[in-house]
Amino acid sequence: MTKNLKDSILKKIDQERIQPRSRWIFVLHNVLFWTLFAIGVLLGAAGFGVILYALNADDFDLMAELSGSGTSLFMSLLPIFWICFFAIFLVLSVIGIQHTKKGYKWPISRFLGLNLLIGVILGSALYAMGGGAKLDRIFDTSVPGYQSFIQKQMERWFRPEEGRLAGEIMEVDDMVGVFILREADGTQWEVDYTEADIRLRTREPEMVPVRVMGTMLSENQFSAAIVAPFHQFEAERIQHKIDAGDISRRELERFRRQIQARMEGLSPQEQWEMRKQIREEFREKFGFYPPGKE
Amino acid sequence: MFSNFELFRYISLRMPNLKELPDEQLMEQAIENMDCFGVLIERYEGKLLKYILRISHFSYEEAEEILQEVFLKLWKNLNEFDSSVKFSSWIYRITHNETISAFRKAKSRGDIDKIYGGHGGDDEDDFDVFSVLSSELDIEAEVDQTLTGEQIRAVLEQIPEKYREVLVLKFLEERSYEEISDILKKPSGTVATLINRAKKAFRDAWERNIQDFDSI
Repeated sequence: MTKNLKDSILKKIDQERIQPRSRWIFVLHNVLFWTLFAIGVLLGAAGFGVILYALNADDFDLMAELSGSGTSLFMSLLPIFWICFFAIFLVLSVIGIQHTKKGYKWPISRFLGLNLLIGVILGSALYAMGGGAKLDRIFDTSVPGYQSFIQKQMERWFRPEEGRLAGEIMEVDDMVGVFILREADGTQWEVDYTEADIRLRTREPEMVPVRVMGTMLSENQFSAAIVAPFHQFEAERIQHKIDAGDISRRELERFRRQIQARMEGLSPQEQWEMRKQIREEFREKFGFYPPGKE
Repeated sequence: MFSNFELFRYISLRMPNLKELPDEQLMEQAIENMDCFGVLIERYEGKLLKYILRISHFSYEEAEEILQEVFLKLWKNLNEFDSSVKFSSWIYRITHNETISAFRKAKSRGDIDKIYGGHGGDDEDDFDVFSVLSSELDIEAEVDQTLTGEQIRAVLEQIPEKYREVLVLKFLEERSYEEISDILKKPSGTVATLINRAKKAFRDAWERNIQDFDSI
């Protein structure tokens, strides 16, 4: 061994004026990873809170009946974004705690389990306090491209032509087996519930928001197969879209059917005249011309 | 007034001999007193040099260069030392990381393709290595006592790096599970599992090679 290793090291330290790094650099390093752990756990918990909210609020109770389209509905109901959000922050929290001073002492599986447990407990508490729904709404208004669960759900149930209807029960006629339902846009429907599976827990259903699955019989008549509560019903979400000029697909569909009916048997010239007239009628009703060429 | 001699004697009696101080105390005083750092270098240079040679292919001169970097790093990171970890574990960790880092640099230059090249300490050490490993790995009865360090190294070379490093730390450096955990920054349970698997890997490699050794 080289005898002067000690001397050469001490000489180098002295000549090059090598100084030990300041203690606060190491403290800061440790604090940064603890912070990453804390942020990971808290945001992960927030994500779990929204997952719980989505699983409870959305249409999982009617999934069997709704899933005519197979697994696609299940996938559309799953809060994929929030599951990824939860997973990412869970992993970040594990990375954070693993890089703290003593983080190597325990296996990753233990940290993963522990952080998962903290996330589930805090997330459940957040959900119980209404934080899940609140966070979903905050994202809805502040994150471009994000659509809240309630918005998706409202739009899913604003489609009577596809057998889905939602609104508040205005009055019930027990004798005939019919109730009047007011949709989010104010449209009133006469719903026949004689054959329906009623899943409401209340005996006084007036003003109770419901989801109705069944068949559209005519413009304002509907035959119900299932009547289930709609806890998250928010009429203003649809009303807001109508007010903004973003009318529902149903309105456009109705307008298209009217045009077809009135066009039948007309000559091309008469069809052109009729089209012009209908466009004017549409503008009068909605305040703007319908989409498509004149 | 004290005479110079009396003053020197007084100070000598009051000041403990640095070489008798434990590592952790030397570390605490090293910033103020470079001599403490010098004592630490003297205390560990031999052990660490042997360790570098045991876990790598590097030549003696290269190992000395790595060792110099280790002590410079130790100096720069004096304030990182946490007395809840044994100093020896901490400096072994730095040495281990520095050796791996030097290997990666050499590999990126295309100088070498594997960290372990089958050489180690001197012949006297090799005999110790053999006695420790053979008794610990329950192969004592099966092997010829004339087995050389070279043959041990040939077997070590055949087992994966992760197993070799724990075998070296456990049986050659005689570190406890807790210390190996601190050196490799792995949980103690993982270290125990690694050691068990490493023993099995060594025994398997040994059995594969036994005929070759007999024919020599």
